[in-house]
Amino acid sequence: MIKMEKDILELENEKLEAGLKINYLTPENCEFYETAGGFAAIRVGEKDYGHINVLRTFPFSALWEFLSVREIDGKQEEIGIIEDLNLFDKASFELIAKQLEIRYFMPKILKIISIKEEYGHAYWKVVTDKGTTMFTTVAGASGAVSKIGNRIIVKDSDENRFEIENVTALAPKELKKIDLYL
Amino acid sequence: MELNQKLDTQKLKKLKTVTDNAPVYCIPIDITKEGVFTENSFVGATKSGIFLFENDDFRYYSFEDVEGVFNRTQTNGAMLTLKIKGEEQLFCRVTMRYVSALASIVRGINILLKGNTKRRVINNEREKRCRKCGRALPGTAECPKCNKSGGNLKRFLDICRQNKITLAVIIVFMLLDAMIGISKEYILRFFVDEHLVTGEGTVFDILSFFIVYFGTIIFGLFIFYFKAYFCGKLGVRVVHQLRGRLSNHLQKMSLSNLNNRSTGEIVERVMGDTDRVRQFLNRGFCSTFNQVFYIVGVVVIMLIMNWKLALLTFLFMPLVIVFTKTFWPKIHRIFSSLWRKMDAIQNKLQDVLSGIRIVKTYGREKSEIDEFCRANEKHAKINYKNEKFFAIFYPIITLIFSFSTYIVIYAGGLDVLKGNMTPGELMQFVAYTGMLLGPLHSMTYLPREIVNMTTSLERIYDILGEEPGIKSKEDAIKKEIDGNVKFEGVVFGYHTHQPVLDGVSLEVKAGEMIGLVGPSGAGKSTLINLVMRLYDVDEGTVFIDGIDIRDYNTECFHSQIGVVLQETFLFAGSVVDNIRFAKPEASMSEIILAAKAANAHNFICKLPDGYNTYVGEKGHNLSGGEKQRIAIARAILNNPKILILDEATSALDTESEYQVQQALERLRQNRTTFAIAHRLSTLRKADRIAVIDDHKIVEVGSHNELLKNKGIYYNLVMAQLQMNKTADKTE
Repeated sequence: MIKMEKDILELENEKLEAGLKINYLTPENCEFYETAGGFAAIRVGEKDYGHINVLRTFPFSALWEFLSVREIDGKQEEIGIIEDLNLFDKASFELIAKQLEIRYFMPKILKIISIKEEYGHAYWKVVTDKGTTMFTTVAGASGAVSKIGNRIIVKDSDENRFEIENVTALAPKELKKIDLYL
Repeated sequence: MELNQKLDTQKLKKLKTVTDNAPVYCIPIDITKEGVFTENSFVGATKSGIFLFENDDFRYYSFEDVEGVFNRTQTNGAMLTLKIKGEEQLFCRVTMRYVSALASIVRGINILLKGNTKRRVINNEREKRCRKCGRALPGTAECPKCNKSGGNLKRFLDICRQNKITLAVIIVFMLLDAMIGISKEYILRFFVDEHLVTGEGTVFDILSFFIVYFGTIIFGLFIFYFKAYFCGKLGVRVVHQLRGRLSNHLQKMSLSNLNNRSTGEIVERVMGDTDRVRQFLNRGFCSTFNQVFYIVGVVVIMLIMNWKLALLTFLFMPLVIVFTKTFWPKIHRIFSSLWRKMDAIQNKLQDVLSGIRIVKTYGREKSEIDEFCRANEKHAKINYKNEKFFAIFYPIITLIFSFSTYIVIYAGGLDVLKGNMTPGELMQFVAYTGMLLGPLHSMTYLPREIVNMTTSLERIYDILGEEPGIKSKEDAIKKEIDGNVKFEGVVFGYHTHQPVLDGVSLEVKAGEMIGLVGPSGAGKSTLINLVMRLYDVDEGTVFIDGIDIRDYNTECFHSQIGVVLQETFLFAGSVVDNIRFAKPEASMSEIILAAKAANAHNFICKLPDGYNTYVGEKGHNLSGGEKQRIAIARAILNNPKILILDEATSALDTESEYQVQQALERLRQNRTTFAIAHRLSTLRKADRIAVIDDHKIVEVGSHNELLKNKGIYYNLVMAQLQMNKTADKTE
């Protein structure tokens, strides 16, 4: 019984130690491949994890760096971290980029057609790189429109995110429309 | 939330080509698989298969070919995937707008896939968009844009009808106010024409005029005072009525109702929206509406006096309206931007002051000062820009307003010279022109004020019209319970797309103590929330003494439950008020006995005001253990059949914990007890322990049984032993 307790404690310690380290995934120690269904999958050494989740740890400031690769089911344990996706071959890059595109669906606003404020909400009509759409933000809600350098992230009332890549590139008329929210 | 939206005939025809079954689930999707916005696209299922209409593309898979259906939630959306021939593939995508609906139908489709074609999944979340125009609802049940039935105006009139006497008095005073305002100019004209122009006036005439004119002004002031008094009274009374109804209704609402809205939103509706209705009554209704009497009176008199000159004056009215309307958005933007920058400064200041210890500890004073100064500078710049705008705007608007006066003076002057008009009449006319343009300018704000008021009313009635999520049935059972609790296939999530408990089954006998352990977020507190019926399950049933918990009268059932939480909340009031909260009719001796059993009597006696000591916010500072013992006394007094202990001793020091543990030991005798604890030693007396992990109960048994099983509980115990040993070594 005492031996068993010891084994458990050692196992716990090992887990704790392992949890403190970053397991970097590099082109040398892993391989990405596409499942027949079109999803990204990974093999690390001998172990094939199959379909995976890829998460950005810094979704606004580092798009291709420090990507957390996780199992798709159960507790979605972290398999490892990609320090820089650019270090991988083109096929792997494109495969992961496609996955990230789906996960972080964030249309880029190309033109602001109108912003109408009514009933305490702002109703936006915009042209994005994904087509024309309408969304609503809660007028005056903190965090609905945030500025990171020249980038603007707009969060609508459904928690969707939209991006204005470069606020200075907007026409003066459009700038006037969003000025109130900046 | 509607999970079976109607497809148009064309789509139904297409569906008919592959199956005879009608859709049982059908929701819109707003992006294609490639991530492009789409409209008129739907995903759903019939009893026999799953279908997708994506733009012009139609796809259908029979359940015979589908091995699994998955809802893969993403950071900004979700995707539905199908497992076909052992391979998972993307079927459709949605943005966050339809995440909840997608999660629900995936659950429903999985039930269909298992062959159960009768059960339907429902989604209790509120509809967030107008089904007609697709716009997001501003926190209301009905779309204010599409709801043209005049419902809000009717509601406003209903409110007025409840105060019709006050309203009638106000209208009388409004009429009197307008009459006095208009007649003052008539008196002036009479004096000028009869006494000054003729040159026959005497000192007595001047004195008489002074007395009459001054008397009219004083009388007008009295009228104005009474008008304002009754308007204020009406506003206050309406707010009082609305707030009373709202607070009454809020008390009846369930936690699931309340959780749908933030605390700030509810406070805003009770305080802000009701106040906007009051403001409308005071300013919009009583002042602007008053102007209507002025305008009508003045227009009629001007037309009677000199219709040509009157029409000439009216020519400028549209200009005033157009000018005000044109600049209104700009002025609105200016003020909004200024208020928002002010909010930013206030938030920054509040942030820094709240975290001043952290700021000082990390030596960040300078950077915080710089940031505050930057925000302040921005505000100052906008303020300066605005002042510049108004410095130009006001003289221009004054000039435009004056135009009609100049015209009246010019054309009227000619009439006076021709003898068609007396100088007194001209003076009266000029005064009436001013009287006309002022109210007209403020009348342009009236539509906006009406919209603001009706929106506020809409938001108020939206709460008043909401049915409590948890409501006793008409024939609800009122009886003393024994305390047998049974969970059967319970599925529950605060948001439908994120189940916190997924298929939980557990039986607890009356008088048994069940310890609940597991990692944070596993669903322990949710489980006891369901025992307390603070929420209703999404699927499955919770039985109390073999009867569905939903069949009990909630008030009667809640009165048989006692709760001691980690963070004890004491209401503002005395110690005795707080203990008596659970049983208002409790006698003094009952209270003392409860306090004694809770190990609280001794410390309460030592407080300067004993049981009358004021506690709660800004009250006497009690320690965590003392507060906890008051909460236990409250629970004991209630004599509950089911006792809930949610981390009741986790925040206490060893001595307090010992005393609280003793009190809890007494409290839990002969009661069904659910106890959550991270410190496993506190559960050593539990009859059984249920381990919750990943939203499911994964182990149930006594302490010794679970240790023998060497499962999750065993690992948790060992990990805590290790932690204790490490802590001992460090000390």
